[in-house]
Amino acid sequence: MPFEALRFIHASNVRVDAPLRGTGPIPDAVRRLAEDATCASFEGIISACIDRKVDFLLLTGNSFLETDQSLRARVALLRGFEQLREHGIAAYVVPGESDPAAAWKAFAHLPDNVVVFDPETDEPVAVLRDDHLIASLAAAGPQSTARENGRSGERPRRSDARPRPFSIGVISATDAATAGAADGSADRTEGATWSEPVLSTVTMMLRNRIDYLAVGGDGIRRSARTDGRMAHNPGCAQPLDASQTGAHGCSLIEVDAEGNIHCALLPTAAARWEAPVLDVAPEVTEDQLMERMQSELEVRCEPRPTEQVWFIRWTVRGSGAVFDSLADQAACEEIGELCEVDSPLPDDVRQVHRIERQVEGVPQPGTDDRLAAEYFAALEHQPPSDRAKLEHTFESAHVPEGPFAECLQNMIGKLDLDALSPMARRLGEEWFAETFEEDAA
Amino acid sequence: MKITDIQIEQFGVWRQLALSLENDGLSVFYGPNEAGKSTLMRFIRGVLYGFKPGDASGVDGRRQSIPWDGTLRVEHRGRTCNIRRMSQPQTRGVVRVCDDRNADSPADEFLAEMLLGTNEKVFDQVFAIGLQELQELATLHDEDVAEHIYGLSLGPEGRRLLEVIEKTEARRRQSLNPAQQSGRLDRLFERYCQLSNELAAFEDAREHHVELSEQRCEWEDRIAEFKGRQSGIAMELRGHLYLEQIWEPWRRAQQYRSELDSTPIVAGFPEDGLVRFDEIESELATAVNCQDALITEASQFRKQAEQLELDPEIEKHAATVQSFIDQQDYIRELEERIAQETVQVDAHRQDLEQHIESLGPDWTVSRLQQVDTSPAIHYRMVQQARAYQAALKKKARLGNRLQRMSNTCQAEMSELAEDQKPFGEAGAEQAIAATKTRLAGLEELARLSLREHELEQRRIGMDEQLVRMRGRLRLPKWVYGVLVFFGVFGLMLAGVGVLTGMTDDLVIGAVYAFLGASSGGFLWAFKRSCERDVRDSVKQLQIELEHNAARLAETQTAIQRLHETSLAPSPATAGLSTALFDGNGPSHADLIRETTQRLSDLEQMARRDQRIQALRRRMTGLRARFRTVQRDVSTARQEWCELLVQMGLGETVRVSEAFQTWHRAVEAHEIRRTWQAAADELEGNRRAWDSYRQRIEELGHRMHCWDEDYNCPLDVLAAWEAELKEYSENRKERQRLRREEKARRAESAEYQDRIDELKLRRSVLLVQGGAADREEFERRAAWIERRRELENLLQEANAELESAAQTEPELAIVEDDLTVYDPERNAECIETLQLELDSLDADLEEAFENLGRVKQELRTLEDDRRPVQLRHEREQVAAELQQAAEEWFAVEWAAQQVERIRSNFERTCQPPKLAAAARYLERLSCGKYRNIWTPLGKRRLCVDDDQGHALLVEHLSNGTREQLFLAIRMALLDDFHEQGIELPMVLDDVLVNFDQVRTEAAVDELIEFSRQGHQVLFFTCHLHLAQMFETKGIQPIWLPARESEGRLAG
Repeated sequence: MPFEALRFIHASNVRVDAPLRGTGPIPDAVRRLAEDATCASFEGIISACIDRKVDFLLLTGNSFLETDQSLRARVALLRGFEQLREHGIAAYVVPGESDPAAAWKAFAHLPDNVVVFDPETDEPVAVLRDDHLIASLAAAGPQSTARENGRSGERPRRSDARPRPFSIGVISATDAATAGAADGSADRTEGATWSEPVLSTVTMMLRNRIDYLAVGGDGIRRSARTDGRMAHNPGCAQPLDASQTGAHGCSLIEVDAEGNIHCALLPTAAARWEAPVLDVAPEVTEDQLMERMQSELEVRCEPRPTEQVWFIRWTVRGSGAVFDSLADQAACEEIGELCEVDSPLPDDVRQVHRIERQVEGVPQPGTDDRLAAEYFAALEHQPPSDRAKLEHTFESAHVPEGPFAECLQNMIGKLDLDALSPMARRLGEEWFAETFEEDAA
Repeated sequence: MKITDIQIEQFGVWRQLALSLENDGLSVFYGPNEAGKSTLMRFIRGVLYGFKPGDASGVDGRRQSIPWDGTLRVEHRGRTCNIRRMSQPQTRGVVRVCDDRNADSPADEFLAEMLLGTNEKVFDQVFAIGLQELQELATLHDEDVAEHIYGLSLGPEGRRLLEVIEKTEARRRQSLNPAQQSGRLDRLFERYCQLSNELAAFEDAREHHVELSEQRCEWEDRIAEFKGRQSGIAMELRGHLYLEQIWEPWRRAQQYRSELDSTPIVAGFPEDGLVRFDEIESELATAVNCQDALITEASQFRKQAEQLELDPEIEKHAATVQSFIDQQDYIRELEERIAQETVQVDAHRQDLEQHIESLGPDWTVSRLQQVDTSPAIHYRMVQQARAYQAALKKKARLGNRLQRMSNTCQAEMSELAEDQKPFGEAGAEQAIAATKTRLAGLEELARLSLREHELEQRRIGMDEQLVRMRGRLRLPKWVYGVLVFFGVFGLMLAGVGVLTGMTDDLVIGAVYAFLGASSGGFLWAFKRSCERDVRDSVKQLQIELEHNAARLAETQTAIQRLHETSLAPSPATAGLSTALFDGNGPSHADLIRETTQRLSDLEQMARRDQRIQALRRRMTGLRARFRTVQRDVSTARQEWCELLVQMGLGETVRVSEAFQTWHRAVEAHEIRRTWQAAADELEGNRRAWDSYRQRIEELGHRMHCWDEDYNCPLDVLAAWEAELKEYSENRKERQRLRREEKARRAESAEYQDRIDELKLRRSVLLVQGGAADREEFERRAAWIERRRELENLLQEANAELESAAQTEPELAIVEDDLTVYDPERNAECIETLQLELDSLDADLEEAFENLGRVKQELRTLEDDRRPVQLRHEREQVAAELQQAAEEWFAVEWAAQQVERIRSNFERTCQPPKLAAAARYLERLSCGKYRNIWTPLGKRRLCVDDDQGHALLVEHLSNGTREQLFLAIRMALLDDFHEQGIELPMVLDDVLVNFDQVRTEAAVDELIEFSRQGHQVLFFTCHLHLAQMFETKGIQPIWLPARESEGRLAG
């Protein structure tokens, strides 16, 4: 019996009271759900801890956004921790980028069941059950990697009579990427793919006496296993925008006496994002489009009990009359409404459908249209592919100096460069449209 | 057109001038200043376009009286004509065109054909120019000229590029207009800042919350502390209070007990005897005094009343009269009101009738009364109408969708049914099963056929092999020869052995015979040995052949069985080839392909069927929803109609009509109510007035006042009022006096009875008390009272003691404590403790108040959703802002590309005129300037120098600018020439600002220009220019210097 059997919930990127982004105009009732989504998700995590009678809750980074200065986040966290305290459940909080250790120190009257563990400064922490050591929580950053390199990485044999504490290491995805570990490869990976440096690092750390490596930071759910040990990032508890689709929540980690680690997703997100992409052929009718949308929803139709609202962002690509009709916002809204009527989702789940039309490919101007050809050739040869070019564009635009100009300049770093070329192409299509029509005629 | 001769009869300074021009195209006229060069220019223009009033002035500006007359001899398209123009007042001169034979041609037609629409302004600014025109850029910007330079310079591509640029600019402005601080980005940023600022107001909330939380804890701790202290003091106070409570009753009980023992006991004394005795005596004295006074007053009142007199009629009806008098002001107002209201009621009635008519023929006042026009019903009506219309829209939308789905479903079902027809009643699944069976059978058949074929081939092979093996049993002939030889030899030896044995020696004979037999046996054995392998192989082959035949038979049986079972024709496999492979028909592969294709078709049909079923299921769902929506519509419609009926309007499903009717009804209703109210009021007023008048008349008759005019009741009332006033005063006085007298007497009688009763009661009381007089009675009463009092007090003190003891069961006091008890000291302690408690209570109350306030503030802070809403909104704005920024960068990027295209276009795609002008300029500037272009969409000229720098016209030197403008005009002339307009170019000293090199270049260029077919008339007053032309082979025409007003040509 190498370990004491234990059970805990691992959550990351909870971001209590962080606002959802890109919901668009929504009815008041849905708006309230959207505003409360992250809080509801955290409450779901707390309820799950109590229902599942876990030994402790592990929050690895970004539990709230300090920059938001949200009082509600602080109150919600305190209430949640207080509930856990009433049920005798400890909470181990690892600060992240958005909730640094200093921000946690500013909490007034943090319940005594909460341990804020700063991997950069704190020594390993003992996790107790009835005054009995069952696990240890330690930093697994680059420094500790070097420290641990000399030790034996073998797991205790099953014949060992005395169980040893389950070793939990904590590392952020950023640290893992910059650790610069030697080559390593996991036996098995799950969820999203790991980047090569991160995978190497976590694999190496798992071989250095860490039974469970809690990876936090980037908010994408993924796991890696090697030698029966596990590195896991539970992803974000509530996605804030459509970049992360599907069910989200926290992870229930169960370790049996043999040291087998079982990991299961416990959905807690109140708002779910879906971003289906539909390719529409020219001959497709509106009814067929609707049918395809229904089919797509049926495929994804697995609403979790905690989900109260679905934000579904349809991206429709292709051509034809139906595709062209989607240029009209009213038509999109009509289809969204019909889609909601026919939706296979349960009635108590609110839906917000948003349809975006995506024009693909380089438009083909007429052979005689020298100007259009020159324009599209220029776009092809000089795409807005790096930020230095955009800096130059910004300077050329002579935006008057001031906060607005600063804001615009700062945005250069956040722009989706891949989206600019298609936009410029669409503009060209619009501006040189007359030519295309004439050619078509 | 080419001018060959100029003949001036009279024009300006010129008279009788005849000039013959060179035939090579370039004519240079030299003359000093005021020689008349400009006049010649004006003459040429005047002949072509008409004389202007200014042309008639001489050099000195004086108008000459002699009419202008002159002729241009021109060659135009092979014809030589004379164009003569003579001035005529009020006109621009009379023109005449005649040829060499002096035959007149229509002048206007000829000139129009020659000028081809080139107007005078263009001629002045392009063809005939002086230094002034050449120096002024404006001359090229005149509409008529600029059209030639700029208007057509864009071309269709340029115009479209210009449109694209305009669209680009519009899009940029839409996204961001820095100049006006507008555009989507700016708006979003402003909104973002606004939201951020609003959020900034909540930044301190967390610190405030922390402070409040700390305050809450502090107050909670303080309250706990206060409560602890309060509890201790309260306990101490309880002890002191208990002692105080106990001591007083204990002390009194002791005192009462001792006094009771010393007081005598009196028996039979009346209850409250002394009090009653005092009361009786007091009452008796009072009653006697009052009785006397009352009798005196009654006598006085009687005398006064008898002195007053009253009118009996007035007395009888005084009350009625007074009531009428009280109402007279009201009646007066009533009369005025009735007059006004009569007019108003008539007006309201007419208005109401008009409104009811507008509502419709079946509308009456009574129906109108039933219409509910309250705001509540209006609100309900609006809500109901919205609900009804929303339900209708939803139904229409769903209905359309359902119809579309139904049509799709029907079409697909028909198509599917059509495709399934060949299978008859057998369904698709059965057909698929049958086809699958057939396919399996065909595959098996193919396999078996292949096997059969293989077995057959094998049989043939084995047969051939058997034949070959059998052939191998025959040994070669020499083997048989050897065998025969050895056989014969053996026989011979055996014969020799037999003979030898029989004849010579038996042993030798036996040996020979043995050798012979051995030789034969050996040969036989050899032969058998040679044939044994072959025979074994043949035997093996035969066995295999038999097995092969058996397997072949099995295979053939299986094939036959397949034909009878799997491959037997059935309705489900109708349409498939029935002929099986027999060497001539379709091959197995074809059959399998055909069946596979059928299976694929059938499976596709099944999938279509499934899709149709799914569609129908969805339609069922949608129909259910549609029915729900229909029900909603019906409900909404019913509720709508019910509401209309309830409101008193007619049923209609047209919402707007209902609203219009309702609004008209509301107006009519309002008018009716106004009218009704006015009519009711009028009627009431009238009735009130009549009633009043009648009652006055009746009263007058009863009072025997027959002479009054009762149609004017107010006058009658005025008279009665005076009489009544007098009567009323007298009557009141007499009544008062009588009442007073009567009252006094009654009271006097009552007092007498009372006096008698009191005397009797006094005597009885003395007897009961066992006393003879008042003093004794008082003494005995005092003893009794005191004893009773002491007993009660003692009882009370004991009860109080007991009660006090029960209130504090936890506390115990001994007798000694009570004996040594000091009330003052105890009171001081209690007071001190009480004060402390009060102070604590106040502190506690304050602490609770503060705690409550802090908690309330905390709750308010925590429940405030405004920051959440602001953050949510700001995030959405931020997302939009980012999207807008991406769009803006894309627009800017795209605009840069468009700008590049424009720049490229401007330099490479200029019109031919400017290209030609550029060539002229290059030569005129000796290669310094090489390109002329105009920015797209702008009437502005730019020049590129040999370094590739673009320069605006304004930045060029005077000479270069003149060279540029000359070059442009030469290019324009080229263009006009191509259009068939062949007018001469007339230049008046345009080279004076050119340097020597460029002047020579210009001279060369003009000569070359004239050689290209252009006629150039060059006027100059500079001798070196004339000489320069002369050196180039152009003989100048030397104009004579001006000597007098009129000048004759030499």
